[in-house]
Amino acid sequence: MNRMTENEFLSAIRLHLDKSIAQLDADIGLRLDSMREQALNPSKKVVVDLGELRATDKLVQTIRTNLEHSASVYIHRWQPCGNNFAFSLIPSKCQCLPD
Amino acid sequence: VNDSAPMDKFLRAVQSRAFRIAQIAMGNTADALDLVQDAMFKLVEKYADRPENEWMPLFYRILNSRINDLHRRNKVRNRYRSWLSPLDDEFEDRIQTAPDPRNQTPESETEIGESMDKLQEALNILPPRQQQAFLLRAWEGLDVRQTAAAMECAEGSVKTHYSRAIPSLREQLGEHWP
Repeated sequence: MNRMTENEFLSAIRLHLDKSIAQLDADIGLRLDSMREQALNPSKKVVVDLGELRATDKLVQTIRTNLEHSASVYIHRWQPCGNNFAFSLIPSKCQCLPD
Repeated sequence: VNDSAPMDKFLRAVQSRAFRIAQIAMGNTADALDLVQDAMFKLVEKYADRPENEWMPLFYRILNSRINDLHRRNKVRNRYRSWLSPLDDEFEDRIQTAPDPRNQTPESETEIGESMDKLQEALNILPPRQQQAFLLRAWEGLDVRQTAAAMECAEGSVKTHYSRAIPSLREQLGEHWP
């Protein structure tokens, strides 16, 4: 078998990477769409008051996950807000996120 | 006419490839999503008024910067972990420990196939700057000047990284890939 030329080699790589995009989970595509929409309409935000608790990554991630599942929304990564923190909410097309 | 329509069109066109580039770079899906999201926000917030032909290198400059920052943070974190657990050497071997970046199911595993796995592995082995130069040039289609802008380095560096990445990938993938 002949060795591939560099162009053939690069074409094969592009083909594989393109194929890997075509096979991305639908959930990933939905999240990317939601992120894009949120980036273009960054208006909705919810501030979570933690009271005396410290906003550790783990605690915030737990709250984020629970909010996403219970409210069927995708949430922008958290931002520190004094002792509390804020989530940005994806405004729409969020009703069909899987559990 | 919606003013954000051109930006929406641009982000829609670039989002999946950007996600895969971030996923390959970071080795996991959650970080990749956060990085792409950051890049989208920053581009819209800071650069939406720039000419459209500048968006692509600007977007990837933001994304690459975020990827590099996260690599640095992870490096420090892993070093800290290795101090805490000196017998735990799992962080030493980048290839062995790199999580599979795809959400694999048996079906997708079969569909993507062995050649994709090999490619993924070969890309993971590339040094980060070679990986970035290669993916931006060979896959995203940026020219040398745009890639240099995206990587915040000289055009000569892009050429060097790119020219080193190709033989490395060929060596990793072997003569008869795919």
